Amino acid sequence: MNADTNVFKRLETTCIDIKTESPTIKTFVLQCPEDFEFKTGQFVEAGLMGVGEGPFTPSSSHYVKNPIEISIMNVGYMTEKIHKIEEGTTVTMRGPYGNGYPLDKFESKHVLIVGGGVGLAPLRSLMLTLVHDIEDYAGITVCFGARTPADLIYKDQLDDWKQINGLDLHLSVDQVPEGQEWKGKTGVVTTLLKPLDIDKKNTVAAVCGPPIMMKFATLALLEMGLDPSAIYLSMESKMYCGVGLCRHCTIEHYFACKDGPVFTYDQFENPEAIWV
Amino acid sequence: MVVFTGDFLCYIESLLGNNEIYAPVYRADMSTPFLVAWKGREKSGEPVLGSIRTLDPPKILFFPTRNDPLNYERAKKTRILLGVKNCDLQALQLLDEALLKSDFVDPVYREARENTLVVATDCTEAGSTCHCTLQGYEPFPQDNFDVSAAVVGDRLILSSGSPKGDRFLTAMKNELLPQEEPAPLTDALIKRRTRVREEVEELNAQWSLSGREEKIDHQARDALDSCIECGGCNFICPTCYCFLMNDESQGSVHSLVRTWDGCQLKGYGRVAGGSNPRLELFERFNHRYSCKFKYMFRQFAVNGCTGCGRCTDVCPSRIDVRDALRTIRAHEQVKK
Repeated sequence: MNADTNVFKRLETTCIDIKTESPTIKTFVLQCPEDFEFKTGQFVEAGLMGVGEGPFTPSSSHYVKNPIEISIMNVGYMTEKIHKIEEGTTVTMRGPYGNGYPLDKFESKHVLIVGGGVGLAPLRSLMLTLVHDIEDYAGITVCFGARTPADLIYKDQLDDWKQINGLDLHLSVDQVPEGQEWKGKTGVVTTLLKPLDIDKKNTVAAVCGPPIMMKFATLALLEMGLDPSAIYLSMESKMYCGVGLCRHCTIEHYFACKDGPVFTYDQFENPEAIWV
Repeated sequence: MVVFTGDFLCYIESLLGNNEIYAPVYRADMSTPFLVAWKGREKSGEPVLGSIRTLDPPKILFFPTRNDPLNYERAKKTRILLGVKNCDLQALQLLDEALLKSDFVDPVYREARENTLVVATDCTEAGSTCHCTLQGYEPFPQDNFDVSAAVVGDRLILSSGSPKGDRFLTAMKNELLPQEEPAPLTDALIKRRTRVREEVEELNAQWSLSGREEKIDHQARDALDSCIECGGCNFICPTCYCFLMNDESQGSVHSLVRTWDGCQLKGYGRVAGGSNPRLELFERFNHRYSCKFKYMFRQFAVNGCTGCGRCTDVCPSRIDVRDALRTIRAHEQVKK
């Protein structure tokens, strides 16, 4: 890190496409001034000048360096504003920050990806990145869930993913409200895990989603016989600076921004307390 | 190097034109020295080179309560900060580790730190809440200063702790007539240091700290029964440096504003959407104590508490950090 670079300086990107994924989630396609290098699982601080910024993990493969895609849920002040922008708007960005997924440790392993809600965003990036080198892994199993069929994101891409040789995609929704259609499984995403026929001793899992989902998915994975060190959690936490200065994101003695956002379950001293 | 204190202060005063000087002075109704922008003895009063640490921690000069990291004020003059005590030198050590020596550098802190000459002085007494010795520190400058100026009688024993300090003392030598360091003076200094350390130790005889890695009990709620959640302990702490960041706009002019934040305040950990990892007061209290006595040491190999006692002084409910630790430890032992 060059000491003369101001870490708070923002890059200006242009939003060239906006896809509505669900009633609360949109994907923003950002054209960067030059190729943007990042590692899947790393995050950026993206936002609008004069409004604010927040930590988001790109949802596109790290092999695609420009444009990059970010899926954002409308949940607070800044995200509400960014949901209202139009194509052509300048979106600020700094990063990439954090550790990302240790792909070298996934090599020749079966990779189980478990996600819920907007947690699918970093996992989509991971999945697409793994698919690029699919022969390096024993297999890829993806279990995605959402609250309702309408909340499931990346719906337009699911059929394409199902066609990928070596990738096994499972979907579920918690419930199907009246008026919505769903042909797949119903139940929380953990119900997808138990029937899986995979070599647990040679499996690593990547989990991301709402805290409650991450907790029960992790417990289910442990019950299945996965080692705590093989469970990779993408942790979310209050973050301002993204670079380990503001201290808001500390989880135990770790900075979620700098030491994470990807942690293995065995890293925590008091794992019951990490679920917010 | 030994000089008369009066000569030294005259020399410092002569530097006012080219430097901003900050010094502890007594305010009429306060027994704790107050850190002020010093404008000379006539205007601001006599700098206090003994006594105890100032009311405000020096972090206010290195990390202003409100600052814009993209458009911060560049130093126009070098600064001299007089009278920094060891607890605050050790706190600066932690801030250096956190904000200068980590993977990312804080631009505002770096600018201020590089531009400031830190002149450390000895404590000549123990404040009622002082407990540096409990935290493993001495009540006199150990390290992390540019110049140490120990008052003995009407003289100062000066020594340098950095290249910046070397340059300062070399320049000073040309203006002042340094004296031989007579052995009795050194003896008197050693005696005074021993006496003050014993005073602090005696004051804290009823407490003990078993080590840096304190076990913090989630259930030790009675340690904080009377907390009114003002956050004063955070803001007055010389090692607390948490900040929040907001964008501000005036017309088409945008700025990024950082403001101090305190982990005892309810909104500290709240995320968009409203969920909060530390909704309950005891959870925030537990977080602060874990941060001070466990996390910071793990992160930076420097204590998160330097024993200055300011959090205890500032607390409207008189929660004493030493009592709180004792209560927490008692819970831990019951659990065992």
